[in-house]
Amino acid sequence: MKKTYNINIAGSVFTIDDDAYTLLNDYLETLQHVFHNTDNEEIIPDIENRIAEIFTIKVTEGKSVITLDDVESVISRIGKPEELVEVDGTETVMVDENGNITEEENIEAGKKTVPPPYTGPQPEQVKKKLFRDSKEGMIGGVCAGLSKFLDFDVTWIRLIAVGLLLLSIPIDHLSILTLPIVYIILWIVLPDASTPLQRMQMKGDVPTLSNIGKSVTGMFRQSQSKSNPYGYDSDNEKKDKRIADEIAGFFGSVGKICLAILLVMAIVLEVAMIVGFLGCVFGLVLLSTAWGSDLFGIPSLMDNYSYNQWLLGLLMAIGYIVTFGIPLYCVIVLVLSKNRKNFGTVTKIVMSIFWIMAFVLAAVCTGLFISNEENRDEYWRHKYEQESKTEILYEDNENEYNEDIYESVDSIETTQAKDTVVKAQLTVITPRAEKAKEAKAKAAKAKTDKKFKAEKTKAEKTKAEKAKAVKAAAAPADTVKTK
Amino acid sequence: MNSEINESNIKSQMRKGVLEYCILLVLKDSRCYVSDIIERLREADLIVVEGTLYTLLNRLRKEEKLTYEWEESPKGPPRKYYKITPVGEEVLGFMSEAWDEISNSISHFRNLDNSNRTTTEETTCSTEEQ
Repeated sequence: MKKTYNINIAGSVFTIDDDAYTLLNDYLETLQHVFHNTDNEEIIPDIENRIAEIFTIKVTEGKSVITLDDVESVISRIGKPEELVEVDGTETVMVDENGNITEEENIEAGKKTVPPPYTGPQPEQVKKKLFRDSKEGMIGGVCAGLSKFLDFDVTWIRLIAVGLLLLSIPIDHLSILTLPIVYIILWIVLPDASTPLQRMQMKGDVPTLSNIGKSVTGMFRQSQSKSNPYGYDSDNEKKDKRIADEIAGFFGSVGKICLAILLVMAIVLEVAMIVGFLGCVFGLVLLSTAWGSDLFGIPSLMDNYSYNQWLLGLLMAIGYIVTFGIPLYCVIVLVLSKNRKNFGTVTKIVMSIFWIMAFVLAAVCTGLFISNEENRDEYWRHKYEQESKTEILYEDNENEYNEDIYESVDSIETTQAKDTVVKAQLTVITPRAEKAKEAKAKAAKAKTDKKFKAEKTKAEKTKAEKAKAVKAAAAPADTVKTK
Repeated sequence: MNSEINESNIKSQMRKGVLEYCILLVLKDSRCYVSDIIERLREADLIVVEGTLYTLLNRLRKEEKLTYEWEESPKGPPRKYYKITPVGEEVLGFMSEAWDEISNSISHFRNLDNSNRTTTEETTCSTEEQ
């Protein structure tokens, strides 16, 4: 049993086996190389038209699905790519950095050509170019590409890489992040060897068109024999890589870092699940504390913190839930579920936007929350120090000034002058002791008031006595008169 | 392996020269679709793959020796039917002349060879009297 695809050639729709599709796709891509000249732009549509026609005939003859045999017969009818090149087949393809074919005057099919001057035996191999090999790699194909470039076995390179990772445990100066970061950088920087031409460059085969053409059909046969006859596993493996590359390619470099971080963690899949799960739980607990509950000893946000902190805590909680929840959800749906759904483009965009927002939100709120807490502690500590200092000052000064006030009060008559003297005394004190100053002034004033009152009553007393005396003196005078 | 390539190379090199001529001949009196042309060529023992034909037809059209028109077909997508142009007919004339000339030259050499065979002697190319 095989998977099928629905394809559209020249406006007609066909159902085609997946291996037949791969071969057909590679063939058409190679033809693009052969006929890339602008003069030949009508040829590929003509060929596609012809292919559509051949397929239509097969369908009307009773076949419902296009198989590998059908595609192979089409290729032999229309011609293998090397047959369509009207030179002796040793012409080398000139490629620029992007892998696009540049100058090629001699390779226009159909023209009579003068063979190029013989420059000596053609090299068996040209210099290899370093690519990523995502078809044979496990995560992003970095190790696989390196192995092709260096001619080492893939497994050895992977072992060395993992060894580097583990060496960071005993060695102090080697961080455990070195390998993941290097891997991610290589993943972003190295191009993927997807087209047949790139695959040849990676292996170092001379990229003549005849070689490319042979590689298309030859390579296909090779991969056929390698793969599992039941086909299921290799499909899923391919799909994993396609998903990873699709998502990574779509998000761009930044997304690749995030995705790569996620995937590197997901080598041990359970770790990613656990982290995501714990992160969500933490976020939920935080959220519940915002509503006044008291879980796991985390103090309730609502009761114990100021309003600002409560708000920050709430936003933090939401941020954490989404930041951990989205990757968790992705991992669950893409990797673990039986149906293996693939996300639509819109979903991807929306999820990545939300993830970035939530991540920033969580980070910012956490930072603000913690700094607010620290500021608050700082503030109370500061205040406590202040108060304790002022108390000390107050006690010392009190003893000092008591005597001073008494002395100056005695030597000066008027109460006003006394007040000014007291005040003058008090202005010597440093600004810190404002409160103490006021307290002292009050105390001083109270004392002078007391004294004043005492004097006043004294004066009144004497006055009253005088008045009495006057009255008494007047009284006998009256009694004398009446006699 | 090398000699194999050379043999098919020789044939294909020779065919390349005459293929254009053959196509113009086929289209001289009728309008044909690509697979018709291939069929005709096969009848004449001239086997080519369709892809070669597509490129050749494309070039001839660019050189205005041929033209095409679309026709709906019950068997699938619409088809291009090729036919010869006046320019093409003129070129065909030249080609026929050229062919006759070359063919004569070759026949001349071959006849010479044939006539010499009867003596069963190896002849030298020198014109010196023995």
